[in-house]
Amino acid sequence: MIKNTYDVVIIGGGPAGLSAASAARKYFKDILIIERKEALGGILLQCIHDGFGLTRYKEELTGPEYAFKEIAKLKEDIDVALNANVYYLKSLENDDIEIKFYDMEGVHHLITHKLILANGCRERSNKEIAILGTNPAGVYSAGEAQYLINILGKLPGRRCLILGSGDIGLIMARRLTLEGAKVIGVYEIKNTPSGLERNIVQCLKDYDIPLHLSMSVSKVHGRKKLEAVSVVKVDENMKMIASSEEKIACDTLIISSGLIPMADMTKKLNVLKSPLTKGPIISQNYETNVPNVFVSGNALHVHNLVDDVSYTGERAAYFASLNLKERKYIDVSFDKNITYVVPQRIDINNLEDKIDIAFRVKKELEDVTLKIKIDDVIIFQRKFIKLLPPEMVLLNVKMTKKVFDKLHLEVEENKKV
Amino acid sequence: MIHHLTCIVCPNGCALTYDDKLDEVKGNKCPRGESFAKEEILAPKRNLTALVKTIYSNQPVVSVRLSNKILKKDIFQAMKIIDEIIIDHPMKLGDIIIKDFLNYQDVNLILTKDVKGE
Ligand SMILES: Cc1cc2nc3c(=O)[nH]c(=O)nc-3n(C[C@H](O)[C@H](O)[C@H](O)COP(=O)(O)OP(=O)(O)OC[C@H]3O[C@@H](n4cnc5c(N)ncnc54)[C@H](O)[C@@H]3O)c2cc1C
Ligand code: SF4
Repeated sequence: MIKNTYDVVIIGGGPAGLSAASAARKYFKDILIIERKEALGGILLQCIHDGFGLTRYKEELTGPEYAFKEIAKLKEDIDVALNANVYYLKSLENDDIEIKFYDMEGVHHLITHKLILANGCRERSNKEIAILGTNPAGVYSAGEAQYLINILGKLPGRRCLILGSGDIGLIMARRLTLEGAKVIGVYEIKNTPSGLERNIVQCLKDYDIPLHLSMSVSKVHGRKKLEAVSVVKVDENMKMIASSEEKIACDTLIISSGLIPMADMTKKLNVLKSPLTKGPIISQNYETNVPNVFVSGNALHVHNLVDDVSYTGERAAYFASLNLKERKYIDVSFDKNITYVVPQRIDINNLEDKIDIAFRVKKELEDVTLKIKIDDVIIFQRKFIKLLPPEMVLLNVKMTKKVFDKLHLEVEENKKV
Repeated sequence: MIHHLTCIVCPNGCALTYDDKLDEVKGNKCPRGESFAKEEILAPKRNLTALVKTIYSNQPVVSVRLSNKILKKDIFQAMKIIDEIIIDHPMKLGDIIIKDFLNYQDVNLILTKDVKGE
């Protein structure tokens, strides 16, 4: 039975939502998870490869095994609505949130004091990457191909070409090869791979799958079914070099074009979005500009490690349990080596002793020091032998000062002696 | 000879060098990198996850894994065996489908999801 009021409602039952719910149980009585699909577990259910849980469980688990462990932690008195669609969300004058959703039982209307968004991310759609030519069957996103093979047990095709070298694309290259398809190659428009080096090794090199950097797909061919694609070299400005165009026969094109946080729920609440992460702008308390609305996991920004995702769920639940005073924000700034920092701002009136800071760098950097400054005084520094754009860094930083005007991050190259 | 390799044990992906004359590994942030480098040069091993068919239309395939690493060269032979399995009764995550897989003493083929049945 769905109640009329909740202490906290969590939208999304993936690893972020599950850990938020388990942690929330320590602080709240009435908790509800609203999940759109027919089962809890999120994207992990289709990630059958291993590599999950090394920090959280100290073992290498597959996606479904990790999800199972998180689901097993849920206390029975936590309400779960499956196959549930939220169609109305509103922040009320007293800062409660009004929610309407429907499931198999019908329509539900409720009020919650706190809301945690954990609805994950989506793949950039094929339309968001411009490719000329026809619109034949046989073109899939990496996630679609993963669902087809790992959940439905169907091979998308026999001769596959992969565009984009993100981790999902690399993992699919290996899966397709193991399942008997031929992967002609992985084509990446940038001059460095987007996925982790470890996946380049164990997904491509192990199976002699070539990785073509500074190359892209310029055209697709075939009327009903995909027959071939044209690939082309690009110059340093990522402009296609027409004379290098080459046609390759294939029946499947898999586009691994990167992930962006879901925006459908945040839009309903008028949550401010960051142009850099494409996710909501939050304070160090995982709170959006809408009071009592918190975000965690890939709905916040895209994480590489599910262990980090679970951590953010727990943190969001913790901050949701606090009685925050009137918010007062200062913006976080950073230097040119950094792509983005989360949180984007500090709520100076509600500052705990330690805050989480996540960031990514723009390009590969070696032998550098990250410095975090408050009002131009260094409060934290750490050396890194190497930093890579695909690897997000998540730190828990002690705040030596509670009142300040400026928080700034910079990544500096260490001087050679 | 000096071998250059990437440690694949964890997402850090340390760039390792292995000097086989001195039997010395460099570049590893933790001890697991050292054993990885030595094994990788001698006889590389890998984990394997895969899918097996079921008779149930609501779950046509279910995910499985090997409980331990096997030699890289045995991966395709392993896939052949896994391809032929069909599960025809409900089973649980962690259940063993084949014990001592490919005659490896310490390797079982196990389920990583429940087979719920219809
Ligand atoms: C292909 C792939 C490979 C990966 N490989 C690794 C790896 O090797 N190691 C690793 O550590 N991490 C890996 N990750 C990352 C990790 O799986 C994700 O970071 C993690 O699953 C994100 O968790 P989440 O809870 O934020 O989102 P999700 O798992 O996406 O969960 C979001 C949930 O919200 C639900 N939802 C969405 N919208 C709504 C709505 N409007 N209403 C209700 N519910 C909704 C969804 O159905 C879903 O259940 C991989 C990710 C992918 C996609
Ligand atoms: S050496 Fe250790 S830290 Fe580095 S990749 Fe290997 S396991 Fe990870």
